[in-house]
Amino acid sequence: MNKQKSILLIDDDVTSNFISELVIKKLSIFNSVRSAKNGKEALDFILDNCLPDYKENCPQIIFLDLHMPVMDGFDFLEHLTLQMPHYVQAFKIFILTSSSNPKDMEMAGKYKIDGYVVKPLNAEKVKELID
Amino acid sequence: MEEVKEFFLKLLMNEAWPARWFCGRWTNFHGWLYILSSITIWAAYFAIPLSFFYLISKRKDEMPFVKILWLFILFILSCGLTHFIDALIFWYPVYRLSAFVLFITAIISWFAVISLYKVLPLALNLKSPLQLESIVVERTKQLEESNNTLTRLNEEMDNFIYSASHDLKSPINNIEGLIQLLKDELENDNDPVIINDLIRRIESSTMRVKGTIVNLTDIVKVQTKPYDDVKEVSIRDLIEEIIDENEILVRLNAVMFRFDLKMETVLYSRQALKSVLYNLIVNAIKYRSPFRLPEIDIYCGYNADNRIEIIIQDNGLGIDLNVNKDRLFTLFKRFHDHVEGSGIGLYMIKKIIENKGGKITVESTVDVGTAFKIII
Repeated sequence: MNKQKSILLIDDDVTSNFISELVIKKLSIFNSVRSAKNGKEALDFILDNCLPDYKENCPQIIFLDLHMPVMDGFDFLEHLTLQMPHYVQAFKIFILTSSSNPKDMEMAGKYKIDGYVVKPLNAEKVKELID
Repeated sequence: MEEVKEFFLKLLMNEAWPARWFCGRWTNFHGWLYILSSITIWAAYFAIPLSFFYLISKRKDEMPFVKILWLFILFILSCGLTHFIDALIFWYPVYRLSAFVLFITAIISWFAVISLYKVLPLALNLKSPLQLESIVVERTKQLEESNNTLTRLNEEMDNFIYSASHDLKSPINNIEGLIQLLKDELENDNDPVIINDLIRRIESSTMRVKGTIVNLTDIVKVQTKPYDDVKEVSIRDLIEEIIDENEILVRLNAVMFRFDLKMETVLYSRQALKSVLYNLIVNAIKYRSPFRLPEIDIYCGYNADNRIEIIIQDNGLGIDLNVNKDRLFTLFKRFHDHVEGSGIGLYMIKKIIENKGGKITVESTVDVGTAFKIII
């Protein structure tokens, strides 16, 4: 496995971010892992690090929660798809969620999503997704 | 008595009178006009009951006043019979029979009169097809409305369940994840700093579950509370009470309150109104702008539709309604993350107001302020 990939966690739940970060760090197969507490923060980070070229910190894997204040997961996906379609195509976006509301699934299904993961994140789930 | 006996014994006999043709001076035209008209009337008086009879037999169960209709059939038939006998007398002068049939007709006609008077009030209350139609239309509309309300309530209930389960699941999932990490840590590195940190996080997640359950209980209370302490409530007194209860928050933020009360009191449940205004005022201070001191304007008066409205206007952060309007009053939904909040306040307010037949709306501009308008 290559160790170049960076991960971005987008979730307002700091404890959930802490768990995911620790799980990913312990795997020690990724370059870096960062977290953003809402869609807007994440979007700013991606715009800063992935335009005009993909910089070192440009996340290639995103774990996205759907319900967050300020900018939720759906709005984030909408903005990202509009502003950076090439980015959305090139990299992986996983929905990391605690509930499986069918309405949420349906709404998220409108966007290019690489998979759904039910919290909490653990080593097995990450490995399964990355392979 | 003799006369009566003779009358009935000779009922069908015609020995005592001449046939009508030979009694007086009838011209052919006069006589036949009399006879044919009488026969025609009799035919008609026979045909009318026939159609009534047909009507009754076809719509047996749904015809109102069937008994009186039978009486009418008899009445018309006997009337017809008197005309028939009247014509018959031109050849057979059966004057006794004629008198007898007239007598029977008289009795039946008075039975008809009396029964008709009896059912008259009932008949007056009968709905015409047009009235019935408009009743059906009205009822259908009511049914549609209640169906819509039920659908909306059902949807709300669905959302409530998803939101509640989401907010319960999140910390429980975290606890599950933290325990996995704790086990892993205990088996491998056994770093006491990390172990303590994980335990502390498990504890705080447990508190979060408890907090959510308390919130849910509060919501159920709001839904079932009767709020029957309805009386004249002074808006100014109520707001001052709320300010007193949040003295530190108000003083730390140097909040300015302005009143524009076209009416000083409203007739409402004091408890309900306090919960609503409490939430709105605390929100207005919590989500204040960092660049200016909070100012809260409280208005109460009649709106254009002559209903009482209370407006709580602030100069705080504001909410982007283009994005959030539909979700503003939903459970556990939060729009700012820099201060603590449970996301149940506006949901509860909406429930309280709507349960009492009112409405709450919001107008807001980011970085200018928010106005909540309550129509009670």
